[in-house]
Amino acid sequence: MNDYRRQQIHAKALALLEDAGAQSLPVSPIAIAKHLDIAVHAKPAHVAGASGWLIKSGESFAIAYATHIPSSGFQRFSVAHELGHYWIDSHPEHIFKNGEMHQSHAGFEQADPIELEADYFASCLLMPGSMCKKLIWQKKDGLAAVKALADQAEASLPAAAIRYAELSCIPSAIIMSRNGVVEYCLDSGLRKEAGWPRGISRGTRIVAGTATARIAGNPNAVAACAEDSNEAEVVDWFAGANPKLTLQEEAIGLGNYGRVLTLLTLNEVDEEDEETKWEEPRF
Amino acid sequence: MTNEFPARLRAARESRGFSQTQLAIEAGLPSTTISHFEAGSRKPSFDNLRRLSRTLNVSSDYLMGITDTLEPTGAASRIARHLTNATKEDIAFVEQMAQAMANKTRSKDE
Repeated sequence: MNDYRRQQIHAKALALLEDAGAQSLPVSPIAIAKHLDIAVHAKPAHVAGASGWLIKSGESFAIAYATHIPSSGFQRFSVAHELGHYWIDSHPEHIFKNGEMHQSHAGFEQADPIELEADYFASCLLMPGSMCKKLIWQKKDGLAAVKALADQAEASLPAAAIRYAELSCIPSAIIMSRNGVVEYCLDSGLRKEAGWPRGISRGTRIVAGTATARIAGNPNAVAACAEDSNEAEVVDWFAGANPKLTLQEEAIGLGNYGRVLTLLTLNEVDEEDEETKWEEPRF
Repeated sequence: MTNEFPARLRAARESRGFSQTQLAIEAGLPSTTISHFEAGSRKPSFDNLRRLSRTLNVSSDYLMGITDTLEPTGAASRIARHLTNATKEDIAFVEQMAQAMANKTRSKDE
């Protein structure tokens, strides 16, 4: 998804919020669905499977969402994702070109463009920049801001972390890992600031001695949503980075989800260490 | 739908005697949207299709080129997030929902 398309989808989410009169957090995707005359049904908890469905029958629409994962943030995101398929232009064409049931996959490692678009739409709908930026500034950044965002927007921590990385001014990266192995890494300006070093790919083992490794090494800590933090050099995480740069690593266990969420934020560069000094302009 | 939608929209609009602007106003869409749709430079959302379908009194399936009949067929379509995780029970639940929606539409029409 290119920047222009992201802007378009963000604008569409804002237009829907305005249309539905949803101007404060937490945004209710179910209330928005009702505003659009879309019925919403929770699947029974014993019915696992797809996290959400958009069903069209004639001119009627309904959304069914899974409840077998007992996370309100996950469930709200699933409903908002389906609203994305309903509201974003050109999705009908993609959905029906391969028959009546669209074979789609969601997740940050997936390349299906309409799924990525619906995920991004859900993120913008539940955590609109205008409502979230002030909250992030008030909380100073880092994991505290992510947790405040998740709390206020009633979003899952991973969804809030991803939105935080996009809205915050501080270069950061989000890593999701399981059993000490990276599932995905989302970079938001950190690699650029660090001189475009090698990225962290799926399957990479988390380096020993980090806060993330400490939590991952203790299943009880993951289950108990334990937190840990660490000061590190950027090069410890990204091979080939500028060795002068340091970062803050903050990690938190995600409970029953079994994963560890890691937030890496770049520390401000000490100006005394800079070789080139700022020269006062002369007029 | 790529090939059918612009032509079908234009035909349905003309048969109802609407100008592009009139149709946009009646359907609650921005004024230039219809000309973009008919030129094929923009593609509709489900919400757009639903609004057009109501205003023109033709089925969205017809506009999308899925059926050749103007009336709603009650045909069900679904999209799932994480479809690969879907179980037989899951699909049965959704089919039941789709059937209930179709029955409701049918009883409204009768």
